[in-house]
Amino acid sequence: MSILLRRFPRRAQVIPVFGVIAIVIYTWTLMRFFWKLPSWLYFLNGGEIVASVAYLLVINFLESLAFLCGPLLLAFVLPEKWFRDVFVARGTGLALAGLGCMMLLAEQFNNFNDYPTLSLPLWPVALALAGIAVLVYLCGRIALLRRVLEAVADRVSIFAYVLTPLSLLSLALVVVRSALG
Amino acid sequence: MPALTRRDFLKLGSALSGAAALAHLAPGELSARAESGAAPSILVFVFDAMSARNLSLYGYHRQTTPNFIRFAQRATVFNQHYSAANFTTPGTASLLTGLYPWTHRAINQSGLIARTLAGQNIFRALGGKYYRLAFSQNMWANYFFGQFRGEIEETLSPAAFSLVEHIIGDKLPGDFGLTHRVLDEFLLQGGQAPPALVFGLAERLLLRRAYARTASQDYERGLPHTGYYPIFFRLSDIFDGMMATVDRLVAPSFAYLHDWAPHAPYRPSMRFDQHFADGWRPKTKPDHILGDHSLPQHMNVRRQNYDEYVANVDYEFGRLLDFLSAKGILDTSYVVVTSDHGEMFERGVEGHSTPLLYEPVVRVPLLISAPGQQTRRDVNIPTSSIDLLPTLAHLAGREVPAWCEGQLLPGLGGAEEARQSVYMMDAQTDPAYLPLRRATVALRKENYKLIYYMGFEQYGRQDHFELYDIASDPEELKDLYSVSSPTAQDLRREVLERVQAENAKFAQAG
Repeated sequence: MSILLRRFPRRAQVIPVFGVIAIVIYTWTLMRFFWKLPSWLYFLNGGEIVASVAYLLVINFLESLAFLCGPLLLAFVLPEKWFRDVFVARGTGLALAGLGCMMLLAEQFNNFNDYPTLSLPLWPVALALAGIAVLVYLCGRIALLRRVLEAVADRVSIFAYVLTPLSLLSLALVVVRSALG
Repeated sequence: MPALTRRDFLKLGSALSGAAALAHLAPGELSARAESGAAPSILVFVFDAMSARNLSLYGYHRQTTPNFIRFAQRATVFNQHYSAANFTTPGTASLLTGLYPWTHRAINQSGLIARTLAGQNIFRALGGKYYRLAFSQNMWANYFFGQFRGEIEETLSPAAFSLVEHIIGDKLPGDFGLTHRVLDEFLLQGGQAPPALVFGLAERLLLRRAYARTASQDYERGLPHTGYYPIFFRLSDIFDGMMATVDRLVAPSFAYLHDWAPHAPYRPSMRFDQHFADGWRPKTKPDHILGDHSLPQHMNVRRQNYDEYVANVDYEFGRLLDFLSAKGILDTSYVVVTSDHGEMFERGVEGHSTPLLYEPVVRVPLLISAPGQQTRRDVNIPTSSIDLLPTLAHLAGREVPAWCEGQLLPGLGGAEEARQSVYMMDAQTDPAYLPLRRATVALRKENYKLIYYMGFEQYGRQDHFELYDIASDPEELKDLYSVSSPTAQDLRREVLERVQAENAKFAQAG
């Protein structure tokens, strides 16, 4: 068991990467929420707005955890030198490139006329995956890039400490609301 | 207990299958129980965005509704019936509360009824002796069901009877309204980049795959769907589902069944696609300053699509009618057919989310068949959607609630009061808790209709009025408004006083 656990990165490595993932995912949602908020303020009361935010935070927290599974899985599967030993840099690179590609893909769903039959050729997807792989590789090979990514992840890790308790509090609120009906 | 032999088992099997076959032909529970003297059941079928102007029942050029005409032969037909508003939220709220939008305040897109008034609804008005069931494919009506939940025994999912759906709000029934709003309306809504980056994108890709795998050969333009929500359906399935639902109800029941069709996107089945490719062009009306400036040729194409979808709805309604008749439900129950608002293809506007309150967008069908009614009756005075609640309460033997702003419908407890004033309004850009500032209010009285535009930039934020004689000018082409016209000034005074009185209730808040 301990041999298996040793294949995973340390907590100190995981938290900065989680912070990067969380800040991107939460920002993506909250930007759209603030765009929507003025219309909701026309008819929802304060309690309903707070509860809505709670739902969003819980969903974002679960999304962040789900995405984190990607780098963790790679660290587990790949040789230690390839990923685990440079987990912060390569995990951050993977998070930024992966989530960036997901944003580009998400924007393709902007057209209501295509809904839900968006034409999605395979070659851009393959190209994006190859690009992400190259970028992640370079994150560990180019010292400057590695240092920059580690510095960014280190500074962003504060959000992991802010967003996690907020999300857990939100989860409690959601559970209470569902239970009370 | 004696052992069951193989012979016994086969006998039992054939007896059960025979009983099942007979049950399909047997009278439904609604009619069976009604014979024992229970209060009459009430079935309300709402077809979203169905304009009376596009129904051959009301004299439309195209033969869109032969089955509505068939139903009319045993119903009271209201020929001047108006929805109190021009889109689902206020229109449905008025139907369900018997209140005008300036009172119930569900005036914004996806808005809610004022919390203090949520107890004033049709489900409560009919009382607990009824088994009360609510179904709406339109999510915005579902928000009201969430507000009324204490008074509804059963609420069906908006995704019920659909082919492909990704609705998750109702999987968390403890927080009914908010989960639909946050999860389905915000996080997963179509036509935009999903605000939930990981789950939203995954949902969109899964939906795309599920949709591609669904057989939809009978819908050349793609499966009908409920606007921006991930609910895709066959119209025939929705009607089959509604029939199955009605079939299992026990008298006395009240069922509110709100069908998305013929709301956009207009996607009729193959049978009705190009059904009205007749080259007909309606009279072109002038572009309105508050319109969207859509081109007439584009609006004509959309009108044709809409008419075909209406004809498709009518075809399915014919099947429903046959079912209700065969089950004896028409003999024992009140059956109501109406809409929450209309649809418009003129003056540069295509759809109904517009400040223009011309006839196509506010005049809706209303047909009410009383138990055993065999003849048609026509009511030609203006009536309002807010009149339905008091009428149904009256027909159910309940007292008409004092808070109700509507009146009993003529022929169903009410008298033909020719001077009744009927209002319609749109104030979707105003906050729900402040006085009306930028709104359109229309007043229909006797032969006339006054339209009052308040606070629009296009009119320099000054009051602007239009007046039409609906009896002699049903197309609303000749604006009769003038400061020297006594009729215009009487109606102007009446509408201004009413708006002022309603706004005064919110003066402190403003």
